[in-house]
Amino acid sequence: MTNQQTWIGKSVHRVDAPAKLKGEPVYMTDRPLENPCFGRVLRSRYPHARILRIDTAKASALPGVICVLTHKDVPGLNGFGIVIPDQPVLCFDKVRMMGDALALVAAETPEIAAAALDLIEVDYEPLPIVDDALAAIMPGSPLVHETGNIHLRTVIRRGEVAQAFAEAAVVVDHVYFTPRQAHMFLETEGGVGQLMPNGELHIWCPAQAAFRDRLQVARLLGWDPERIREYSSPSGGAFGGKDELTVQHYLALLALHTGGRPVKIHLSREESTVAGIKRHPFMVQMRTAAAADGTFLAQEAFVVADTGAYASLGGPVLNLAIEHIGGVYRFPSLNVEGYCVYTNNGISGAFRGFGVPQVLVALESNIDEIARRLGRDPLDLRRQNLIQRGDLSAIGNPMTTGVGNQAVLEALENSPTWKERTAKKAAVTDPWKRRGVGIGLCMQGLGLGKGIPDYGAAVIELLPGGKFKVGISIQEIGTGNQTAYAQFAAEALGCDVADVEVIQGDTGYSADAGTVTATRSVFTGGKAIQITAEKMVALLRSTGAESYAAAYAVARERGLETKVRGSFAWPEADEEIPGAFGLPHHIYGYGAQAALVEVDTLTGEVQVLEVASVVDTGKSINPMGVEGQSEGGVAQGVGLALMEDTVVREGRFLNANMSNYIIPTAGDVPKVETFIVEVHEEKGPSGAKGMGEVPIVPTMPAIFGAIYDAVGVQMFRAPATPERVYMAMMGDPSATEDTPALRARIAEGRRAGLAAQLHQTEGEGYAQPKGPEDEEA
Amino acid sequence: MLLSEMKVVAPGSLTEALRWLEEHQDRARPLAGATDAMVRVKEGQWRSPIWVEIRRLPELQRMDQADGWVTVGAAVTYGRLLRSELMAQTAPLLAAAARDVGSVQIQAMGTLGGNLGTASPAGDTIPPLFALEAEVGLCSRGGGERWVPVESFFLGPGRTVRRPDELITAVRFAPQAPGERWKWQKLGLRGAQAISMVSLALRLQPGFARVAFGAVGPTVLRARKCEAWLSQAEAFDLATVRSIAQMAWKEVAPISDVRASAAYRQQMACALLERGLREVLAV
Ligand SMILES: Cc1cc2nc3c(=O)[nH]c(=O)nc-3n(C[C@H](O)[C@H](O)[C@H](O)COP(=O)(O)OP(=O)(O)OC[C@H]3O[C@@H](n4cnc5c(N)ncnc54)[C@H](O)[C@@H]3O)c2cc1C
Repeated sequence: MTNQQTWIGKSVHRVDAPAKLKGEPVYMTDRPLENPCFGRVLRSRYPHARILRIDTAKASALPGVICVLTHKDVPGLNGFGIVIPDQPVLCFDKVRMMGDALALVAAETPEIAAAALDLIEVDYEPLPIVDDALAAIMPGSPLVHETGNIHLRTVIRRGEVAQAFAEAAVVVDHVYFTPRQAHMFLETEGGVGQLMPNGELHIWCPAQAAFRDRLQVARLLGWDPERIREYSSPSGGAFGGKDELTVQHYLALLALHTGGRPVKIHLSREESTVAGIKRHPFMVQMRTAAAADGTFLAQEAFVVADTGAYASLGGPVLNLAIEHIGGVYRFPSLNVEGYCVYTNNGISGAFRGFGVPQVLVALESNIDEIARRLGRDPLDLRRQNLIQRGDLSAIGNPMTTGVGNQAVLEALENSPTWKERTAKKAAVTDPWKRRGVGIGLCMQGLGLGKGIPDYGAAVIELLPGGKFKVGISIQEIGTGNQTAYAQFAAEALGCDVADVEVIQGDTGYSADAGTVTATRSVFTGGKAIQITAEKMVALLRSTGAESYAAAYAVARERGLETKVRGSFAWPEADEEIPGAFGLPHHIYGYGAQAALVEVDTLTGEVQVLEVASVVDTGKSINPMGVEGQSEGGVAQGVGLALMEDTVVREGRFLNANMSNYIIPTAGDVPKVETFIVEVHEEKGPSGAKGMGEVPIVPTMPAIFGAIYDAVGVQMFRAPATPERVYMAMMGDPSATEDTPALRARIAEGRRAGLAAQLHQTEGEGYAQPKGPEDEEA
Repeated sequence: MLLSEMKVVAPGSLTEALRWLEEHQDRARPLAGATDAMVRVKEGQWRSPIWVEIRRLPELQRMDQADGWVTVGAAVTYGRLLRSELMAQTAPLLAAAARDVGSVQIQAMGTLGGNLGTASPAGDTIPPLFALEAEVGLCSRGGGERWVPVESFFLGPGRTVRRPDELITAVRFAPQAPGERWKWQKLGLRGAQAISMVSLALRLQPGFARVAFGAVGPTVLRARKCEAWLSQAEAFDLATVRSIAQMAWKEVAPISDVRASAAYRQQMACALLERGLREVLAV
């Protein structure tokens, strides 16, 4: 790379903005359709029940109904799931959550489809409900799956833990709870399926893993994947919630029975909430030890993640959380026991941050308390313990790539929110309000992790007139990667961004570069495009033409292939962490935030006034895009910390729509000031590493720290609603969950967990998703 | 009843609208801004065969002052309320509540009559109307017009004394005194677009106090003990304010739901009164 760059590092306007701003039907659930029919899914009436009988006769007889399908109509494997296919496409023996699907209907109108659902008769025999993840570990708990309620157990022990605790000057030990945050993307799950005249099945569905989706659909249909084409971009928001199949499987089945007519499914907000993926609620008991001089000595944690009825990505979420249990700090000894547990509480899976926010709030809150007990400045104490390049992380991973924690901490220290905190706190107006400032530091493993095939690929096609088409599976889910890809291509090809068309998420055109998850899209796509562009440049040279337009003419004349492909494999760590599937990661993103809050002591309301958000991006490809991601991450982090929770009682959802599921509005999102730090990553494209998930991760601990700073109470359960903050300030007993009874249950859970005979041995129990069919690496 | 089986009629006059209601009684329902109606219909409730659209009826648009009454038509939207010069002068309390309703979009469509018609204890214009001791105007073809004190208008959540053949035409009240101290307070789960967990309308003059709470009982309610103490108090120091605010605890009867517990709501009635009093009295 030359130092003089035309496109990389420039705040280029988003290439997808004009159409979106004008309200054009860019999203696939908005597209007008010719002669469509409408699909609906029959969901369960119980969170846990045996299915005794399903009778579709009356529904099929309703005029206007085109087909009614049940498990009997699933030709291939009646199961799906990214890691293990434990979720039935259509349930047959029992239901395990309210969102479980029992039947599909296609009809002439949405109303007829809805009426048909009411006519399907299902007899259930309700079963005892498993609604508490900790209780689910105990022997004698009712089982969600016959194989046992523990989906994954991961235990990592390192160093002399007992000795460290014995010698420590300060030990902080608390139990934290985090909520079942919903993604609440604007575009709920939906799409269109159609059997094409050429016998191919086409699916238009906003998604995050086109090729893997295609494979999963092929498996349940018993088809050759090549006969299926998924168009999966753009998406009206995803955040991880569209990583798993959402409706593709239903569309596929229905499309086989609608005589070639397109069939559309678009979930209502309520159905999306009940059936869709959520952030895993965590219980984290964390015990942290430090020496009198502030050196961190040991970290011990017991982590229980509620994955709901099916695994989806629950295992990897747990393991990523465990990987980050020590944050950006040195811990010479570690003892962590983690469980990913089945319950009847809906289903959890991928969500921006992927388990890390859930443990970081515990870690950073514990560190704040250590600072207070030692009389230390919280930022200074953190600085003292930062991992340096070459150190081992808490789980024992040698940190050999760009370590940005020092840089983000320094930028945070210089941010006005932190630097001028005394004046900002004093500027409070009403006598019953108090202000405080808190901080959080984080890192986030990028890419899929050790041992999991992770690769990038792209195609670049030369078009008449010297323009280019770039094809890559990684979707535009709102993050701006389409623009970044155009920038990468324009830079490498020496053309204008406007001359590059980026085709994303189309299995019929785009190369398989894997998923848009794990903050991997800039790294993966950028690298793949750069490698592919070299081949294009070579092609152009071989023509000897002066311009790309002329090169195209020459290439056509000589019959040269005008489409080139390139691919690469993600760098990964040398050594795996024993017993922890997918760990460690090799490259990490870093972030730090300071939050200024104002607490109303009369009501417990918390207003976040400002957040300084520092992100280490490696090279920033599009700084304006980085700011957008930073602000969005903070907004979602404010929701996580203060208001968002899908409330599930006895397996049933109490706030399934947006009048009761509360997300921040413009009146709640603080002023966000973003500071970009560029710690060059040698292995990344142009030194970039990616940052999409990072800004949600430190927000919750920063806000919790600020609440403490303001009113002297530590919040242990998120979201910190006005009621919870108020009760904590009042010292109300209801605010104290960390009781001897809970400690006794935790002790029992730890014993039971370690003693449990697992169906799958940890670390090796996962069935691998198959690699891409057209793997070229 | 399916959505496609419902019919919306748009009469051109009040008389015509009342005829629809008289002829179809329980099978017809007024439709104003539809901001509540759409939500309920979507949830499968309120599936009325006939909807009588009244939002544009000229007879329901008035905002005027005469003979000691300020009158606001039922189809007046929040947007008009909160921008009205007349309201700013005669009922700033009501205008403040209108400003806190939903969002700009909801304020553009939602009406005062609709808020009364839905009869939610969390309806945000209702505590101010209680504090203003307003009257609700009802009109039918057979019975003509009658005025009902707002406190007797509500029977419980979603229930009012309105008969199926009646329309709410307007509310009327005496204007707030020029030097009067007043406060509207709303506690929701976020900064905007929030359903009230507790709300408060407060009016204070020497020897006079009105305190009305929303969302802490089956209907909006007046805290008459607090009112009595407030109108009798001679000086307002912090201790007096706190002890009077604390009395609200006994006057409210909230329930627990997914938004907040009853215990918290009860505490918050006191907190909002304390905060409101401290703001208007600067203590
Ligand atoms: C996103 C959102 C946010 C909201 N936020 C708030 C809020 O902050 N505070 C709040 O109080 N409310 C809020 N609401 C509720 C709603 O906007 C208000 O209650 C509004 O005043 C309803 O008025 P409308 O004209 O839309 O009524 P409609 O929905 O048209 O009607 C509501 C009911 O009243 C009846 N009705 C309407 N007009 C008359 C009449 N003249 N005579 C007899 N009956 C009549 C209808 O038959 C129906 O039963 C919100 C709603 C939404 C969707």
